[in-house]
Amino acid sequence: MKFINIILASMLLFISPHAFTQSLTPKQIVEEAYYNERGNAYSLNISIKVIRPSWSRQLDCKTWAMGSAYGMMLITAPAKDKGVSFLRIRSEGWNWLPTIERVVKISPSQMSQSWMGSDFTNEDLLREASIVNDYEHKLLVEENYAGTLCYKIQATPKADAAVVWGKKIIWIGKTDLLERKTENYDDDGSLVSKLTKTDIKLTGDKKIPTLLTMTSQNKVGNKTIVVVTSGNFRAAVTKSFFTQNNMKKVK
Amino acid sequence: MKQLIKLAWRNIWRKRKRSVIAIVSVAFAVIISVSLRSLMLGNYDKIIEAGVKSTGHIQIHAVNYWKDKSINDLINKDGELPNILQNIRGIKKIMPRLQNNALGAGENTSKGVMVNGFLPHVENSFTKLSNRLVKGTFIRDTSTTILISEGLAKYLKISVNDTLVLIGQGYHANIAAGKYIIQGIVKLPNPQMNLMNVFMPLQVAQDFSTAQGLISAYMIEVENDDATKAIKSKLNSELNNSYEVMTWDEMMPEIRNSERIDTIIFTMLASCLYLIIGMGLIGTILMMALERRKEFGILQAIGLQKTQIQLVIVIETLLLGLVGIISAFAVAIPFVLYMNAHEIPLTGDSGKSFVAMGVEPVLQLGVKPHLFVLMALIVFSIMLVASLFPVLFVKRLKTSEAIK
Repeated sequence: MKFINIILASMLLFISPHAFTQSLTPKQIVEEAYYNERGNAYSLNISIKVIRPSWSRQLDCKTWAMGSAYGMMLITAPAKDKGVSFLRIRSEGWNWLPTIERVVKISPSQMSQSWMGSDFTNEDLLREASIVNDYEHKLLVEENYAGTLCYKIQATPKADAAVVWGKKIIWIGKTDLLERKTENYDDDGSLVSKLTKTDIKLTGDKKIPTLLTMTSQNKVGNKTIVVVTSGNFRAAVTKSFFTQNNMKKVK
Repeated sequence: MKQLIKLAWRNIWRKRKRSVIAIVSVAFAVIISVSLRSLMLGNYDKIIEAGVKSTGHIQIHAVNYWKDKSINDLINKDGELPNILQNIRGIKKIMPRLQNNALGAGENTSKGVMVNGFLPHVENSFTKLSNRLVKGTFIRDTSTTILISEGLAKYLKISVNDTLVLIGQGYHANIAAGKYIIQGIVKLPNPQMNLMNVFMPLQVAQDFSTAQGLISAYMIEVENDDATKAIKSKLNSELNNSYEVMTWDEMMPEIRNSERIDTIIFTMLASCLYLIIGMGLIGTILMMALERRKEFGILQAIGLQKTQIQLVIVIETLLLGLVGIISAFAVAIPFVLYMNAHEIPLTGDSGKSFVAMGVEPVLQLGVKPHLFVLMALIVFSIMLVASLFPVLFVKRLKTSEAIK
């Protein structure tokens, strides 16, 4: 799930030894930033707040991920939705609904729909690490964003990539190589949504942004806030954890 | 005057054949246009009746609900609203409804469905949904079981006592998911509706959508159809602007629009008919005047005023029209009444097209008194115009020349 992706941590297979000594290509910067928030495997406690002009709603979740291919999310509160879980293996997603005792596959047609009524789409959550592999990256400028010197990188999808955005503009901190903000544009070049990442804190044993805000551009007053409450980047999860069977009993 | 009318009446029957032809042509035009229009209006009565049964005469929603029917635009079932509604005269019944969309799943297939929460004991006497039951039994307010439409049951390959699984989005982004035992299957006349409807008690629907105490609409039945507009404006003045009040024709504008198109078509047809028949009548009456040139001269010579002669002619023409109308009504009224009481069932493709619109496949003539009045007025105006020519003719007539 992208936000598992986005949210998290990594320990990278590759922090290249030259990373901080030599100048990085834009692609390397994005890749570093991607892995700096994630590890080989992690588990996190997060709370998701969906904010609408006339109402808001909060969900508490636990998430697990391994590499860029596996993700699991379990809703722990409110009581009515407790036990609902989501599983991602590469680009495929499933949803376990305890009230109907069924695992529902998230169909391709549901990909563009909102995830649990939030500003994230299923695709946001389910797409693999495409920001690294599916885009061409170009360093636009180095500029100050929110008091930090950042690389401003434009990512345009490769011709054959199945991507919904026309382009993305990403701000990545120059010293810590952590993503600060992403703007998503449609094919016509107009801004659709904006994801900011703030409150960089030591979580588990990594410094990561712990407050993520997704703002929708065409719907005034709509946003979704994700707060990372605690995390573990040495989680002992294996491939056998990410199965449909485990969705039903994971706690 | 009495004498003049008598004279006119006798004049009509002097040329019996010609008068009968004129009368028959008037009667024919009236019978055709009355029957055709009665059929159209009767048909629309059926369509409207079917439509109103599904929406009520008036609905009250949260403001802007109707535009995208979002599950987040709901109103409170209890509280001030039902109190206000109960105090408005002319409202017969109020029926709360909660509608939501969901994915319905059977064993192997799934389909988008409309989930309707309603109070079966309140709504059934209005919508008569229980009459549409083809299998199983009807639900009660306290049931936890559901009804589904026949087409949906077929599509999902499920039947009575099977379980239907529903998944969707509830109020304020809650997950809506539940499994329900099917208690009955209803056959809805509109095939599209028949493919996608699920009916459940209001309480069950509220639990499904996590919308406790909330509804998407109050459906209103009024005592008298004609008062619908008046009650709407009354409601608008009593309710604050967090509500929207809509009448059935605002919710289903397509009915009114197609009725308007049909009215235009009818007007054009009827105009052609009356134009042709009117021309014929003008010709007949003009001829009648021309060939009585000598007679008019003699009448004048023996002391009748020109105005009296003109009056006789006008009375003659109007009497001709009157007899035509009376004979037309003598045929049309019993015919319309009979066809209103004995509707003709439609079978085959034309029947199917009615069913597709959700309307009973029958032809039934509507009884519309205003239609008869309108036709009578049209005939009289034609007759008045027709009498103008002989009246002018008499005016120009010189006695000395006429009696030569």
